[in-house]
Amino acid sequence: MQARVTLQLRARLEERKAAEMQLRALCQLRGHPPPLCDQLISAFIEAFNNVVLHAYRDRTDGQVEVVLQLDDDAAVIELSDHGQNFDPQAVPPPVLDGELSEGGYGLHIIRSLMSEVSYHQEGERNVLRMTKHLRLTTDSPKASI
Amino acid sequence: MFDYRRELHGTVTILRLRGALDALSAPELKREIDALVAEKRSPVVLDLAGLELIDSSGVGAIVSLFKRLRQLSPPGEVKIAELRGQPSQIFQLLRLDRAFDICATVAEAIARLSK
Repeated sequence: MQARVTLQLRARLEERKAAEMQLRALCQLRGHPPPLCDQLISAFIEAFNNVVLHAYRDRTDGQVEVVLQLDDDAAVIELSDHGQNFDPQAVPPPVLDGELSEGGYGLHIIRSLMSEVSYHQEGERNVLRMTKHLRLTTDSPKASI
Repeated sequence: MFDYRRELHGTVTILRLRGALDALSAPELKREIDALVAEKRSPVVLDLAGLELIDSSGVGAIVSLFKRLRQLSPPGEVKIAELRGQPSQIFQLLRLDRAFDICATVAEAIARLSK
């Protein structure tokens, strides 16, 4: 069975917590272990922060649509905005073994924790879709939601 | 929710972080980091026992503390204690567990500083 939640949020950092709590609740209800839920939360946080801090930089009127979808096979997190788009390919990976950097980790965290990440435009709308393939073990407590 | 508390243990400054260190709260910690650097506080032990969540902005704040204290003369020292859960996951992912001296407990961090 699939669990799907759609949230319409203002693009403000303060709004992120609501979606974060929804995502954690869905993840726990489906019986996924805390480390996996943490991975999804971390990827979501970086994606939401990017929308607020970059897509809607210097704007306070932005809106973000967040779709959370979990089933036995995958967790999908999708964020849509109408802010400034960007080219993910132009963002270089951070140098992790060199001089410590104070920034540039966000996209790397997303790419590392999720199985698939896509970013595209639908008209004026930017859509970031992050998918985590899941393998539930037989002893994982599955909740029916 | 985020807050921090600064304590002195002899010459060691212990900074206890609690809650979520993220894009929203990192500026608050950066102000405390400014104060620590201005006072040339070293060594510093970051107690992360109460830290529930960290994002890349929070990581940036901790890296900033580490780099700025290291630039002091003589170079300052930072140790991290009680790293667990989601923050531990992020530290491992970014290989910060290799860059920082991570101690299981605050007591262990203080003991290592005494050597």
